[in-house]
Amino acid sequence: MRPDLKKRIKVNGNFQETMSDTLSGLVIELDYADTIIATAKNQEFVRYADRDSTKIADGDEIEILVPMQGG
Amino acid sequence: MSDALKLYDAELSSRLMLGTSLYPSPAIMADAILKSKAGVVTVSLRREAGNSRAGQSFWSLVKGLNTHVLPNTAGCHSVKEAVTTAQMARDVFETNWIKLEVIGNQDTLQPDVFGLCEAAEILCRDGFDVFPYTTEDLSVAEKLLRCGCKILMPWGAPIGSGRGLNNTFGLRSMRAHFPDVPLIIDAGLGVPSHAAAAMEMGYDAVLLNTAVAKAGDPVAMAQGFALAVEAGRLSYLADAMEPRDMAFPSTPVIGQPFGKDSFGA
Repeated sequence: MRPDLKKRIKVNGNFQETMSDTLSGLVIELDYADTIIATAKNQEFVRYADRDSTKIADGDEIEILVPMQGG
Repeated sequence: MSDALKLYDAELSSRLMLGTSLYPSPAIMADAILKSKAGVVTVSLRREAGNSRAGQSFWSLVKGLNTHVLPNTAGCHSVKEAVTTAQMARDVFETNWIKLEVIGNQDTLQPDVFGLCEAAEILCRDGFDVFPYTTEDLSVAEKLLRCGCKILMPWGAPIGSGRGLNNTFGLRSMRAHFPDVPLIIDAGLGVPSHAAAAMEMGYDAVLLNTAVAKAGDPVAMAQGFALAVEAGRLSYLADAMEPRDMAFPSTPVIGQPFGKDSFGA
């Protein structure tokens, strides 16, 4: 991994390094490609159709959420 | 006579709404929902622990129950969090329905009604069908309706407390003040008689989770709540008698033996 291409981001509150340039790339990298998820970047909702065009940069905070039990 | 409950674009035959949390197992949750014929179930969005994929199997199970799904914004303490969570929920659950919670106090989990109104206004403008978790405060209720909410969900008591209807006077006032707005008691119910009391007051439905999920037998308790909701609704529709302070005999007094007209009187 070339150090200049790595980005240090947070995913669901945990620091992580990624080579992905886009949110859709990160979703694939994290093995969520075939699962039902919702995404947000820096507390802004990113719809499924916009993940390809959503760039990932150093310091970004990404949320990847899944369906769960609720009251 | 049809007594369907209309909530936004849906007509429901059951007035019981159940949460999906805290059950001993997914199978027991599914059984409780099926046996009680709950019309709506609530769900949430969360971070997934590790690579468990528990979210996918949960969602498959809920979809198979063939009931309406109401995503929530549980745990959100700010307008921004609640709005973003609602938008994410719409993407995943493919529904405009959102149970809007903006929590104001960690001990009581009571709603932050100022944030609630602000978030409700944003979400209604964005096309959501908002189910606001609120208090029995009438001025807050008016504001929520002005924001575009067509349903109100006042609490019975703090979430998970099982205390029943804490402020019956306030809840009666709310029912009287908004005769045409669907009103749902959300949170705080502990036993089926609490649900029956809410329905007898004229509330349109009840939403609960902990009372069923944490019962010794959740499936039986879910059925108990379903029967109580039905009993309370029938009582409300049947126009119950007014209570009296003094006794009034139910057996006819005419023709009573050994009365004052007998020889011994």
